[in-house]
Amino acid sequence: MKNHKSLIFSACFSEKVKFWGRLRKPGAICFLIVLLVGGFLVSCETLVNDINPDRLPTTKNQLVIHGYLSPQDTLISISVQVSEPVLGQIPQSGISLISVPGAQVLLTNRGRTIEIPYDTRRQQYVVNTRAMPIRAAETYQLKVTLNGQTAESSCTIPRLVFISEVNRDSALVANQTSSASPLYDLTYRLFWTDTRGERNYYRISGAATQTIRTQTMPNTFMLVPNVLNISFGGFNSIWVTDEGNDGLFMISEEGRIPYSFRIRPNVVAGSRRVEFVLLSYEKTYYDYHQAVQKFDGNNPFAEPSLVPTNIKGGLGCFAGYTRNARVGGW
Amino acid sequence: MRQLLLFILFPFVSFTQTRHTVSGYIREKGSQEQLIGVSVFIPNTTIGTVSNTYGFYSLTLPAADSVTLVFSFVGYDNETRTFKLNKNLEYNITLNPLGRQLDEVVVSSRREAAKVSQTPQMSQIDIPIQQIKKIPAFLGEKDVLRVIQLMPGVQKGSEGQTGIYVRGGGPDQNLILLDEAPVYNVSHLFGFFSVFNGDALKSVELTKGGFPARYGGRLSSVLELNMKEGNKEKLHGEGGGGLIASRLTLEGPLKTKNQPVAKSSFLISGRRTYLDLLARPLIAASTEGAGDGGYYFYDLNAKVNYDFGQKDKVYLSGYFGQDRFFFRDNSTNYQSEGGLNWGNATGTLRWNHLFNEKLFANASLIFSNYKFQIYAKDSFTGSRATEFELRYSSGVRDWGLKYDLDYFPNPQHAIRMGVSSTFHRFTPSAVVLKDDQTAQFKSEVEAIDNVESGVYVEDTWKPNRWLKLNAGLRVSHFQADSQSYFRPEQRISAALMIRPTFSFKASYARMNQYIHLLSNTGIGLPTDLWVPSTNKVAPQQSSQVAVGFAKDFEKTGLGLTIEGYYKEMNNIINYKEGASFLLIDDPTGADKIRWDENVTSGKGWSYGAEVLLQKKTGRLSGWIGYTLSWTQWQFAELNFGQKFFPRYDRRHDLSLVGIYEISPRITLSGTWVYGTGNALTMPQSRYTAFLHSGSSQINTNSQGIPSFVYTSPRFPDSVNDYGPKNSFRAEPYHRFDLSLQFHKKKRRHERTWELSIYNLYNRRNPFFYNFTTRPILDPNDNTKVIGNERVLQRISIFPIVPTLSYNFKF
Repeated sequence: MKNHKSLIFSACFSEKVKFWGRLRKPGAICFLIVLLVGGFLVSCETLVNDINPDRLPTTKNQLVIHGYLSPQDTLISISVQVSEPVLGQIPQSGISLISVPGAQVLLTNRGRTIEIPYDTRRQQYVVNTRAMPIRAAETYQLKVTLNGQTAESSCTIPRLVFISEVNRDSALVANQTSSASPLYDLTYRLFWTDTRGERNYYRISGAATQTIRTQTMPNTFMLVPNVLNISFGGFNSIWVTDEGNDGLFMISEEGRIPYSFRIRPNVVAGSRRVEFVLLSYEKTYYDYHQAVQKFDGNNPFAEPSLVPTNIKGGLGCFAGYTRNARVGGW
Repeated sequence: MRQLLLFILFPFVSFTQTRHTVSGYIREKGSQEQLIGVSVFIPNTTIGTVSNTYGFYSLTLPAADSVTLVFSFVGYDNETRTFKLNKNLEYNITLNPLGRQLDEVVVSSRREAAKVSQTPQMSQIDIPIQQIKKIPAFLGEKDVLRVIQLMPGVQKGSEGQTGIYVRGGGPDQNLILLDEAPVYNVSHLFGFFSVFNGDALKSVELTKGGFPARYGGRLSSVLELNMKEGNKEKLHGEGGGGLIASRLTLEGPLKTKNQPVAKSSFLISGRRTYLDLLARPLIAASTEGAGDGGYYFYDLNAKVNYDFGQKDKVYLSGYFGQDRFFFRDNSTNYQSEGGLNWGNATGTLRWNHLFNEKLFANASLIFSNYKFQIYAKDSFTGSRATEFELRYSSGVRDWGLKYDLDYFPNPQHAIRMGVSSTFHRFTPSAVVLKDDQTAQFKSEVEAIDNVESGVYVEDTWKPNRWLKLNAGLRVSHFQADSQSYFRPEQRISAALMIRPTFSFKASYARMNQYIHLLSNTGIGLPTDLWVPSTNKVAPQQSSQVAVGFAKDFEKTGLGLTIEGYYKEMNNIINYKEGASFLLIDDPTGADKIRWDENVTSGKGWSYGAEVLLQKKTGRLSGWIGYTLSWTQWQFAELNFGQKFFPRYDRRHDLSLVGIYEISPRITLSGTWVYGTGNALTMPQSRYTAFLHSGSSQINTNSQGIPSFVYTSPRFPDSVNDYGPKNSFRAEPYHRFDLSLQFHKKKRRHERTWELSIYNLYNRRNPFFYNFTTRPILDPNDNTKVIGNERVLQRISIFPIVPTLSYNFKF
């Protein structure tokens, strides 16, 4: 690097030697040369430099709260954490706790407040819904205090929306090798009616299971579970809003149990089960999940997506949802 | 009522006093190049006019026995003509350029600078091409846009980039016209160079506000570049070579031996980089001949004109330029090639017609095309012969017609009117896929056709000695899908002469922009996508008010302008947060998601003050430009609907430019720039986000029988808390460049050696910031890692960069 630039430098100036005498201000030129040589020397330093952490806005460790309440759940679980600074030493502890202990977690509904205790086994603040029933259309306030910091939030449980019908059909598989016994996939669609007059957010998922009897040794058999997530268009579950379809009859995308799952040998008779789930949830839940799933903190050129929060004085998400499931054989 | 009628008809009423018109073309002596913007005036009065884009002027005056006219233009000797005006006169004038002879010391009191206080136009900057050639250049490439970036009200993007941000507007809000043809992507090499080759240009003019009605279609600025016509006297050449590219321009007359004066002339100019030529043998050697690859760009400008006489003239000009990045691998039974190309082509055919000495007309046929393409091709030969090919392209193509009239009824009025219509064809994505293995063949083109039209009238009116006005109205129209947008655009600017060299100016302009640029990087990549307004995406609109003072200091030749502006922008568009340019990740996915579902529209505000102290002539010339500005955006779907500072909001921006002619043979020039750092989004803390699983969870009992369970399991995901969007300020940008030019006139040509140094004091300006994790070593034992730490790093790209280049002219 240095040699290369010096070459350019000397080539330029040897060419120009005869001019020097004619220059009106040789002093200025000499000054220039000194600058140039100095510049070459320093330019060989690296172009990547550490930044003093003071340049970043001072960050205080904020409370991070997560809690999702549902009338269909038997437990109320709240996770409390503290955010970490971006710079500096990365904590060495291999597995971080789901929730830190020592916080006061208060849940209030209709003027009645309960304190949720820390459950060391579950590593969260957990209480049975018997202590505070979760009901649709009710609002719950959460207040968390830890080390003098307080974070607050509230959520309103959406109305329960029922799956009105599961439509099962089948589809022939493309590129069949034999026409004698055609191969086909099972296809499913869910139907439900949207609640009129409000923006609703849904999530649909499904899973199929079967048990396979597998021989491990002569006369020894083992029952091995075989599980399939049924995709309705998304990776795990698909997000649906009623935008443009308020109050209408909603039909999901198609979910499939492929023939390859269907034709597994040695399935235990009667072990085939399928479950479809329709979740109805709050906007805050939707916004938070969308933002976190899109989050990409590694591209220095792209504009990062900000993760919203509905926790006052903290970060995270506290939201309500309802869950309706249909279980059957397949 | 009668008075009102008289007022309206004022420019058209004939006066009892006999009046005659003196008109003609103003050209440069020798080359016969037509000169734009030459002042033509009667000394010690305010009666005068200015030559138009084709060098034509017309002045109607009362009959007199003796009339004296002065023709004055920066960088040229003044010409004074005295004549008897008893009939209409045709006066074609040639002006003698100063400083052409190197043997003369270029200090001249005869030189007259255009006075900033004399024109009603404000927020306008013109930069003499000669000055552009003297300012230090990055890697020796004289770049018009880099010089424009040194002007107040204009900001650069990131380090080294040629994108321009005018008064809070984005790079897509600049109407960049090369011989009237819009240029859609002005970047070479991902924005480090612009497509404009200074050798082929005659004039450069930037308008930031107070837009005359003849311009429309963009919100923030008009950059008008005119190519040279070509020397009509003799063959001339100009060229040079720097570290990365060489260029050559030839211009000359086209005439038969019998013609004393050429009626036609041509200009052809080319530029090409040669890093690939140096690198290719190395790549070939390292891959034993199987591999090949490289990157280059080139530009080609050409122009030819024909002069049918005083009344008719025809010009044909064009530009063609491309960037190409390619690789090839030719192994024994495997061939692979791929690449990335993008480029513009423009063409303009113009016909000037003089109906009479007061009415000048121009008709233009305009073509512009921008295309970006990625391609990849793999083929295996031998027993398992397969072929795979994928091509993705996007672009925009225009065909336009324009007709303009310039009418000079009397010295008080200069009226322009015109009509234009452009047929746009946007291709946001065209995919061709061939795959032997999956027996797929796909060819999809998603083209959108639109028509954009405009009709305008404007008048430059001097009602008295103290007031000059330019008022106009433009009505624009855009046909999008089933929706038709039809919008009036009011424009007015006025100058009140408080003293002969001191004026107060004010302007208002409303602008509409029917086409948008989608960019999620903001750094001017060729993947940025031009898209039209649709039913869902409304046109962008802005209103700008500017007020200011202009003062000329006659003794020193300094011109000072101070302006304040306030601009509101509506329906500006941006990608939604987290949305990305899908086409890079997965070109085949491009057709699945419509671009207009990924954008959000919002509002923008920009206001500030600009100071420009400029000296265009003399031994020491240059300028000081300072901008104090604020820009804010608000989008429903960005930053949770709160206002924020966009990336290129810049509080302070200062440029010092000096050009000093040490002697006729040596020119020293320097620039120093300072700018507040970009507004960026930086993480403030990290935390774990526990997501709720939407899918069923399955438990298995002791017999291995699966069953569904009704808990709400959570999956952790580590995310950053950024605080509000763009709340972090990058470190300020500053840099000093220096250039030393040694001119020498040889027997047949003139040559210049130039040594230029970019970033002389080697400032590490940020290009971007990056977080990285690295091990912490035990201070007592360097081989032992005791933990990891996360650090923020600044990535700079250009340290001090000296360049030697050679230029010649004959």
